[in-house]
Amino acid sequence: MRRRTFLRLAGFATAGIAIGGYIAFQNFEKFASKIILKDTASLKIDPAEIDKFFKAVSESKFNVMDDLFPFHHRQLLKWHYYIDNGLFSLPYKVNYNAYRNKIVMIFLLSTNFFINRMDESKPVYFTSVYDPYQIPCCNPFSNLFYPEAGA
Amino acid sequence: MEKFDLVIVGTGFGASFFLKKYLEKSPPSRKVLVLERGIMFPHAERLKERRREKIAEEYAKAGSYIGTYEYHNSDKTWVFEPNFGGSSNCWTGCTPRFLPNDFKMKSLYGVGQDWPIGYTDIAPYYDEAEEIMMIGGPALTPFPRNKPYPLPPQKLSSVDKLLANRYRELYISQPTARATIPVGIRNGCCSSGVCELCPVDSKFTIENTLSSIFKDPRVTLRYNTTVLSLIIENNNAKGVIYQKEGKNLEVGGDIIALGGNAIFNAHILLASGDKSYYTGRGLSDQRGTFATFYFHDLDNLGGSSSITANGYMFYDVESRKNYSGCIIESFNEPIIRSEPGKWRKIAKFKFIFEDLPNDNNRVLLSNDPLKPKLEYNGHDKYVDKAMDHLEENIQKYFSFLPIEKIEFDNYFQKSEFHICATTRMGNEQKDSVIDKNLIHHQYRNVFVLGSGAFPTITPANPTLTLSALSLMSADKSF
Ligand SMILES: Cc1cc2nc3c(=O)[nH]c(=O)nc-3n(C[C@H](O)[C@H](O)[C@H](O)COP(=O)(O)OP(=O)(O)OC[C@H]3O[C@@H](n4cnc5c(N)ncnc54)[C@H](O)[C@@H]3O)c2cc1C
Repeated sequence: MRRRTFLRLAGFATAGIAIGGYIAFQNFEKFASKIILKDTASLKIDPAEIDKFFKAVSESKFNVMDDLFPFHHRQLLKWHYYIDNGLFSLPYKVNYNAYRNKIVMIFLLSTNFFINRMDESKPVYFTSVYDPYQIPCCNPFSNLFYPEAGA
Repeated sequence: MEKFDLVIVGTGFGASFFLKKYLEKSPPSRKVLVLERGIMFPHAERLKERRREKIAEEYAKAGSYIGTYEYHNSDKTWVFEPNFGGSSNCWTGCTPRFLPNDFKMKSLYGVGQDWPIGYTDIAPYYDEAEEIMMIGGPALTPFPRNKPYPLPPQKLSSVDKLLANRYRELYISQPTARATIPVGIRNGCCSSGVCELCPVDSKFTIENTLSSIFKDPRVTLRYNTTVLSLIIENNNAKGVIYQKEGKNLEVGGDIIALGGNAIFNAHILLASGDKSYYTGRGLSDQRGTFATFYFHDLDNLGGSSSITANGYMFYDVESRKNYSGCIIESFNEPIIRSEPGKWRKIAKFKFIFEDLPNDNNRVLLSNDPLKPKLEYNGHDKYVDKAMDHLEENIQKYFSFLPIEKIEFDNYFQKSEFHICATTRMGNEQKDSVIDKNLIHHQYRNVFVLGSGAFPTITPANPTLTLSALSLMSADKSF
C-alpha cells in the first residue's frame, strides 16, 4: 500500500472512531434537550424551561429518563439522529420515531401545554416531572380533562 | 403429622376464589391450611418502593418470578408475582368473558379441543366473579349476560366512539376490574395509566378485597412455604411436602387444592409422580402486537382508564378455522406525535391472537426440586397466519377512520402475561389431566385450579374465567 493511501485510510478510520465515540458517549440529557428544542420549535418555549425539566429529573429520587430510556434505546436514538438522512436510514426507524416522540412527550407532559389543551399560542412552562406515582390521575387526554370528548 | 381438612397452595385468584366458596359452604369446624411461597407485601409498601422511599427490609427481600424456573428462550417470557395475592398485585384488570363459541373450538372450527363445559355452565359463576371483583362494563356485549355489570362502564375515547357506533356489540367499553367508581376501600380509576401498580388502589386485588377470607378463624395462612409435591398413596393425596427455610416439612390434608399457577401446579404434579400424558404439556399464552394509527383530523381524547375498549370484529369469525381469532385492545396511554397541530391525532391498538396449546411446549422437572424447567419452542402457525392477515383485517375494519398512516410493530410482545393449558380439563384421562370440576382424573381428592385448566386459550384475558371456574368447582364439590 502506498504511504499516501495508508495515511488517508488511517485518517478516515480515526475520524470514524472520533465521530462514533462522540455519538455513543454524547451526554443523553444534552442530546434529549436538542431533540426537544427541535421538535417543539412551533411552540412558545423558553429553553430555560427545558433546563428546569432536566434539573428536576436529576433531583428526583425516581429518574424518569433512566426509566423510560434504557441504554439500548439511547444508542438507537443517537445513531439514527446523526446517521439517517433523506437517502439512508438505519433499521428500526419505527422504534426511533416512537422513542423520539417519547422524549418530547415526557417533557410536554411535565409542562402546562396539555393542560392548556394543546393551545400552541400560549407560552409553555415546566410544571413538575410527569410521574403518576407522585401525582396520580394525570393523563391529560383522559375523560377527566376532556369529559365532553367521549360522551 | 399435622392434619387439615383442606390444604391450599397459593393465594392468587385460583386459590382465593376457591377458598371463598369453600368457606361459604363449610361448617365452622373445618380447618384449612394455606401455604404461600412468598410474603405479604402490602400495596402501600409497594407504592413506597416505587417512589424510592425507604421500606422495611422484609419487603425489600420480596421474591420476584425471576429465577423461579429454568428456561432459555429470550423471545417469550413467563411473568407472574410470587407473593400474597399472586399476580393480582400486578395485573391490569382486563376482564372480558369468553364467548360461547370459545368452549367449542374443535366442533365449530376443527382446531384444538372442546371444553367439557359450555358457556351456560359457567355463566352464573361469571356473574358471581364479576360481583366479587366489582367489574365495570357496558350494557351491550358480544357474550350473553343476564344482568347489568355491577359498576358502570369506563368511558370510550373519541376514536373508540366511532368504532363503537359502527360495530355495536363487537366494539365495546372494556369490562374491567379497574373500579369505575369508588367501591369498598378501592378508589375509582382515574386513568393514571400504570396499572401494574395502581397509584390509587383502584383495580381489584386479593389484598384489597379478599384479605378477610384469610383471616377466617378456620384458616391458617403460612408464608415463605413452597410446596414441592403431594404425598400420594394409592392414587390418593395424603398431604403435601413443602419447604420452609431450607427444611422439607410434611402436612396432611383430606383435600388438596393447587392454586400455584399453570407453571407450578404442573410442576407439583410432576414432582408427585403424575404420569398423565398432558401434565405440563401445552404451556401457552396469547401473542400480541401493537399498531400505531396516525389520523388526519381526529383527536384521540376523553377515554378513561389505561385500556378503554375491546374490539371483537375478527375474533369469532369463519377464518378461525384457518387462523387465530383476535381481540383488540384500545390503549389510552398519553402517547403523542411531535407534529404541530397533530399532537394527539394518534391511537395505539394491540391485536392479541389466541395460540393453540402445543404438546411440545411444556413444564418439566429440573434437577432442582424448587425449580420447574420450561421448554417453549414457539407458538403455532395458526398465530403466524393470523399475523399475515392483520393488515388486511385492519384495512377491512378501520379504513373508514381518517387514517394518515399506520405503523405496525410487526413483532410479538414477549408476553401477554397469561400462562395457560398445562393441566387441561376434559372428559377423559386420555385427553386431559382434570375433569370439568377441576378434579384430577387420577387423584380424586386433588383440585387443580387456574388457567392451566384451559384446553384452548381464546384471545381473551383468562383471569375472570379462571376465577369463575374456581367458584364453580368449589360450588359443585362441597
Ligand atoms: C403484568 C400482568 C398483567 C396481567 N393482566 C391481566 C389482565 O389484565 N387480565 C387478565 O385476565 N389477566 C391478567 N394477567 C394474568 C393474571 O394475573 C393471571 O391469570 C392470574 O394471576 C392467575 O391466577 P392464579 O391464581 O392461577 O396464579 P397466580 O396469580 O400466579 O398466583 C399463584 C400463587 O401461588 C403461589 N405459589 C406458586 N407456587 C407455589 C408453591 N409451590 N408453593 C406455595 N405457593 C406457591 C404464588 O406465590 C402466588 O401467590 C396479568 C398478569 C401479569 C403478570
